Amino acid sequence: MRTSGLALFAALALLSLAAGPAAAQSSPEDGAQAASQDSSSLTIGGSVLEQAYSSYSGSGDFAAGGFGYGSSTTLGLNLDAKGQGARASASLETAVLDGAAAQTAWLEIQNGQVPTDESFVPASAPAGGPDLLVAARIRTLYVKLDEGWVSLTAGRQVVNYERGALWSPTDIFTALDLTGLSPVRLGSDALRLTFPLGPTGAADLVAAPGTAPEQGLYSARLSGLVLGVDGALSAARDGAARTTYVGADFKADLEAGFYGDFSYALPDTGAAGSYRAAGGADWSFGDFIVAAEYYYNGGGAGADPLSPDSHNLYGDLIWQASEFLDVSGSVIWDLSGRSGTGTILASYSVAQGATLGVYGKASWGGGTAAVGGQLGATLEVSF
Amino acid sequence: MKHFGLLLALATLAAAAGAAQSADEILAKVDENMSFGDMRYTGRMEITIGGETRYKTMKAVAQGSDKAFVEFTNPEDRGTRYLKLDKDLWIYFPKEQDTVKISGHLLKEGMMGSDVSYEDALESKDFHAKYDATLKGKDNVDGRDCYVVQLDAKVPTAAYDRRLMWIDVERYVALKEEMYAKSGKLIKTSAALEVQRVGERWYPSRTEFVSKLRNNTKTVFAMSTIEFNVALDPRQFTMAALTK
Repeated sequence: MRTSGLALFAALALLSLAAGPAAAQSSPEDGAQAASQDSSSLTIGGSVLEQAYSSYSGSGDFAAGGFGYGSSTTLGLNLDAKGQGARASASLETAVLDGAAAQTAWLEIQNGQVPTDESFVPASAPAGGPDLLVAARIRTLYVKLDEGWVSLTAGRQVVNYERGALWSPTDIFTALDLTGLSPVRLGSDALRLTFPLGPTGAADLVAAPGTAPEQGLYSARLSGLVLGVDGALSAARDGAARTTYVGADFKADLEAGFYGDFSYALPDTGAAGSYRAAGGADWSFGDFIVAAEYYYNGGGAGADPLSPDSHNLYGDLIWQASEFLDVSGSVIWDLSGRSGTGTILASYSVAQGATLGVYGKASWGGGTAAVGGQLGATLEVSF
Repeated sequence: MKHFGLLLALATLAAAAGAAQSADEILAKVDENMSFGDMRYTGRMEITIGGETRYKTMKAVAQGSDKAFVEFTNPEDRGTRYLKLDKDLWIYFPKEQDTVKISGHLLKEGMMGSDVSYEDALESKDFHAKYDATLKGKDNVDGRDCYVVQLDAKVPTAAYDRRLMWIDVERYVALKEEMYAKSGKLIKTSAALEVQRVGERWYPSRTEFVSKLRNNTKTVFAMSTIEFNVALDPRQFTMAALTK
């Protein structure tokens, strides 16, 4: 895990704001304190998530395949300190992985598939992988200064330009982590300058220089609500890939919600440009919420290593069976490579702040005709 | 006999006109209590299925029926924020630092999985602007005399096609209500459990909502520290406030 100077600066600011008057004024209602109108506050919260599963991976011949058992315990900690016009925020995670969970993570380390914000102990292990692994990640760690007409956010943050439910061609900053039960967008070490334009508009400048400014990522974006359509125009530069991007995205409400996200990439080399585009819709009827999205990747693995093929689909269906029970199903399907993953999850609120989940997850294809699956349960307690 | 029939018809029309006038007057007094310019409160939703109850807490500000901003403060939803501008709604998820525009049809649905609609929780209720009123008679609710008034939607933006209200004759607050769909089906009921004096007005500070579309569920929506006509910063009702 690489933590930049920006993130360290954010950590120091968080500590200083937390140690100031805000900490003394923390008098939470129901254990929490947060209000946009408050001048200062300190909020500490998080969750503990226990996950246990049995897994299968192989060619489809179950007698020859490999079965395993794994479990993980994850502590998530969120700290948020606010002062007058200033804010520091951190979202940290640490997890203990056992059995198949440790071995799967180890395999991902060897294959270079580990999320960029995650590190592991031990750093080396015997052949076949370790039986126990400790993982740690800093999801976000940033400071924000807000003067009303302009705000500056520095540190690890989720830039989140995305319009779509899963794919976001215009967002060159945010990588996806698809290893869990639902997609997670990873933070970037960046500086972000935002100028609000009226109630719904903004001009946004983001720089993620990394260790070599000429290799960094930079973007400018103009967004707003026009005639009921949420839209944005953006331009970006990837120094490492020596590529310039222009893009546009929108979401419109026509009873159902319709959205689109388009980006055109022009390399410095003079080679032909390529485009990526995503479009989809979401709708609710009765107790159901449904979303479907199509994604075209004209740039190949270089533009999007997670979805390197041209044609991709994503679908998501949520059934709110009761106030306490949700059942959801989602599919990510690579139409060109004929591979995909599907997840079904039932979540039940078993007590105040506690959610029990039962899930099944399957993956197939990917060029080797391999299949894999997990059946498991989760228990998460928030505090 | 012919003259008597004419007189009877005129008397009936006059009585009907008088009743309609009374219903309008009653509704005007309800609007005086329920409509507001700027409002701020802390809220708590207690969602019950059978014997199991979960709660959600929030802080909210609203400006008329067009603008509202809510921040949830209970552990599971802490930092989740809603911004409503006219018929547009955005939700901010703090963990993902993600702002999502929500389609308008969701505005008529329950907020955060409860039986409380966005209108119930966030909007100034100017009934006169959206409904025609008819006085149906008088009744008694929990020992208090009430007018029974039927409201029929006259604009498509009305949340319900028909509402039946039991309005306290002294305080002009609906103590009980039935909400109906266009089909005539009863879809929700509400009952004021507590009515609070806030400045010059009476306001239901604790209300029970029961969805008739689900079995054995109810939500009690309680408002505390209610303040009307406070000076709100207009920047509270902006996209920038979602990520502050």
